[in-house]
Amino acid sequence: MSEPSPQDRLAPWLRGELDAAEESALLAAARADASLAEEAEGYRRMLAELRDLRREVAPERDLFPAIAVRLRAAGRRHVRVPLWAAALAAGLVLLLGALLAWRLGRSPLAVGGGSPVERQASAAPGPTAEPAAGALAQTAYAATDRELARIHDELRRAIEARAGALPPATRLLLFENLKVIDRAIRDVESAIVEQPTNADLARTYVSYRRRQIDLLRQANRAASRL
Amino acid sequence: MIEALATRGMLPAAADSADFEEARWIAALRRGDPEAFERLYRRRVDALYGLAWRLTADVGQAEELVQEVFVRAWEHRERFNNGEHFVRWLRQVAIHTWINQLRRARPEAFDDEGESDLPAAPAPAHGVRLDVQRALAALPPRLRAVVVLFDIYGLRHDEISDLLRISVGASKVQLHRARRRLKEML
Repeated sequence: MSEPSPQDRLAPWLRGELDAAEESALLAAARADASLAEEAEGYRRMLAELRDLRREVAPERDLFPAIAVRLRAAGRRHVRVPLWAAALAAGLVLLLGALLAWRLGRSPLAVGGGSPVERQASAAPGPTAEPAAGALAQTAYAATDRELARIHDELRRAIEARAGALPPATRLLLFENLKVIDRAIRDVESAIVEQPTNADLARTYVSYRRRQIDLLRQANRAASRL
Repeated sequence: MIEALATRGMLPAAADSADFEEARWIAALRRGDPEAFERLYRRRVDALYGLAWRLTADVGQAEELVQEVFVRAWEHRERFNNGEHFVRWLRQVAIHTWINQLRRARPEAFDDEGESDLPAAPAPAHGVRLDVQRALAALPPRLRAVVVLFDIYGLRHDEISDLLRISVGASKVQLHRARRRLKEML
């Protein structure tokens, strides 16, 4: 009859069948046995590494806004979307205000193009499936979105050209915050693709876009003063 | 004064106080309070994301899983009795949701021990040990789940058996296989 292999002799331990005292005894015996020592030590080290891995790991981004959006999108009871962007932007994020309202009031209500809200408007079914007021609201959102996208592109180009003038810490904060808002916008875009006629989502999308623009505007002002 | 009372056990210790706070949030959540829900999310998200990331071995999938579990938590808010129940529920639903997602993508994905659902970890260069997290990621899902729950989270075989809906014997055998495969990779 052949001698059991080191693996077989260690098997109860590797199956997790030993309590702490039995495990210590097995390891002590293994250390005294040249045929087992190296194998057992390798496993002991590996298990120690596994046990040292962190159980708690912070996500790379705040997932709560996306959860709140999903709950809203599903028509579940209202969950407040937190003012996370405002907090992260350390006071830079404000609503656009009168200037944007004035500009939007004069923009043509043309529909078409590539943004999710525009697609939402152009894909909206006719009056038999959706109330006329809903379709009008979507058209208005699409126009607003086009205007916001245009302003965003201008400001983004400007700040990218001027970013070198900002102190490194401010620059880092700015681009980190823009990333956070970009992600939130992408989350809402995904929700809009799933629910193209949800007006709540369109409003959330526009409000995020406005926060993004305001942040860019504030940063441009700060950079131009330096 | 407060410290003295606390050391005599007349005031709750920090952990008890956190439990008490969580119990209040759970009660508020049951009434549909969104702020309590957000507080519970903030307190528990790192633990849930840690588990999700170890199980899925993928940041995007882990984020998606955490979002899904908290959306369901809101839907089931009236069922939570206390903080411990809430945490246990989050863990259980995360594991079952992950397994169901795997099976929806490929029916045998969770039970197949032959291959990982992820691209195999690249072989380490000569003389370089493969990082233990990358080695875990290269394990097939069920082996990974058993070793994560047993070795990282310290669960017993009977608890793993309940969570993964496998026998205690299968849990032991898979732990053995998982540890052997990990050692071969490291």
